[in-house]
Amino acid sequence: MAQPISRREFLKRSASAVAAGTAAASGLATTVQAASGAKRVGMVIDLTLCDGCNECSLACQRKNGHPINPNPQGLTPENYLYVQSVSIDTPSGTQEVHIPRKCMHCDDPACAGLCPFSINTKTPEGPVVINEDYCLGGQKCKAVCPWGIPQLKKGVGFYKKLEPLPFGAGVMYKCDGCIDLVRAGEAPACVTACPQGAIKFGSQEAMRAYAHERAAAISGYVYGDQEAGGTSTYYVSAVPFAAIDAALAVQGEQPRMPVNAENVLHGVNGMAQALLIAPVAGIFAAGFAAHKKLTKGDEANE
Amino acid sequence: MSDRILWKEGKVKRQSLSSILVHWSVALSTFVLIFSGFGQLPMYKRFGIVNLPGLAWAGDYPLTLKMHYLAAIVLTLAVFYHLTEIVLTKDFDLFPKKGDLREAVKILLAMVGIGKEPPSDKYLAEQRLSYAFIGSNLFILILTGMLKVYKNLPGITVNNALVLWATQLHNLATVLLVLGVLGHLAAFIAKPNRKLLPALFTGKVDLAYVQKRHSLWFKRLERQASSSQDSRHIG
Repeated sequence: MAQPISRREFLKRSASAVAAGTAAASGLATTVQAASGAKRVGMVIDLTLCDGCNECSLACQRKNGHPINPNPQGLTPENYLYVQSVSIDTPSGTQEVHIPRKCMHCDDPACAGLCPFSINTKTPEGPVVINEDYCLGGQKCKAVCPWGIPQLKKGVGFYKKLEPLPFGAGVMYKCDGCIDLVRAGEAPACVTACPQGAIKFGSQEAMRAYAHERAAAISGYVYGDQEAGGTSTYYVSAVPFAAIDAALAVQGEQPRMPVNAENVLHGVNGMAQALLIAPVAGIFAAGFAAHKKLTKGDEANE
Repeated sequence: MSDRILWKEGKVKRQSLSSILVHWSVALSTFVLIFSGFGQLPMYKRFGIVNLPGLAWAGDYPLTLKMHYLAAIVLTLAVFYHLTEIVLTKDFDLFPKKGDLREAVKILLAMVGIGKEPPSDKYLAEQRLSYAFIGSNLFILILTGMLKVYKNLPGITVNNALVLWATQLHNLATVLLVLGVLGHLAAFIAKPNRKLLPALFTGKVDLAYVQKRHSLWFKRLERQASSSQDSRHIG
């Protein structure tokens, strides 16, 4: 039975709820309860706040039980989050930009959609998760990912059980969006570890809205809303992403940040729709042919 | 059904133009689907197929994906056209009959000189079995493939467990289909079966061959011809 509360307590709780709601809507909250109703979650990475301290990467390594590497040189099977640093020449001088890179958790992930064994899936909560127990390490997910995020760890996993059959090479690893924490209503490890509050976490709609609000406020740019047909990770930057991508290219950095990165799946949408109506077309064509034949027969008999 | 004895030509009309078109549409699209499907597995980079002359493109996932979708459209159209045609014409000659397995064994043994080959209808027992095996695998592949395609449309969410099992079934049916197609092609290693090959292009086979091997069908055609007012049977 619900406990009765005093007027003072009621007002206090109401004020807290209003404050929390306002904070979430304005993107200042770092956590939104996502477990109930499997609401899709999203993330904003504010590059104007990130100072490249690498705490997010370390937190990710700790959370996933990986050996601690304070200075990772890229995404690896044991480092799912890598902070890139580039210098960009702007009219107001050279700017250092630090970019935490990890899986973008696309809305229509090609890596999951084209996994030959469907063991890479888009969860109802939003994160795209590879089932490490059955992945054979074919690297197709990496090839079709616009950013080449998943990383192969050779010599481990299910394929070892299939030997001597020549199938598989290892297991593909990448950020799983801390799906266990998300399902428990908590924020991913990188979010809580960021001392600058540069990584915001909440419902996907709230995060998308906040990213655009924030970009408008600083006359900046959003990356991840249009790319690959939409993702649940939104980068906000005061520097154009085309300039960031160009700087990454000069430095030979991976992953790159191509503006309007394409989604392989969207290249076959038209054919997919044609395929879904093909049975009806086949039935109709056969019916038409039979009708024509019968009519011809009747005419011949007359 | 357009089957009839062409006495003057010394042939028997065995396949209509639509049957020939359906057969080749299914055959060619299936070949493209198998090739592009294995490309999607992915296998061609690993096994060095991309290093073979002229096959560098085989490792291009977006390209083999488009090939797979395009061939799937052709296959689905042809299969549903064929199934509708069967229902409308009530032509069930290719469907397996009771005792086909035993009869197929007898035919195979007769080919290696053991025993006497039983008289056949329009199709040999092993052709009916092969049709059912390949056909059912194609049907499974189409259904599971369509689910896989549907879930890849933007904004569409399909239960992950359902997709998982549809994918495993798709992969298993592919392996069975490859075995079925190999068996189907291997049938032409046997010399007597080669007489059927012209029907796949011209729709006709030799009358003498039909009289000898497909005597049940021949008798049926004779009966049809004699009962038909339009019969041009002069023999």
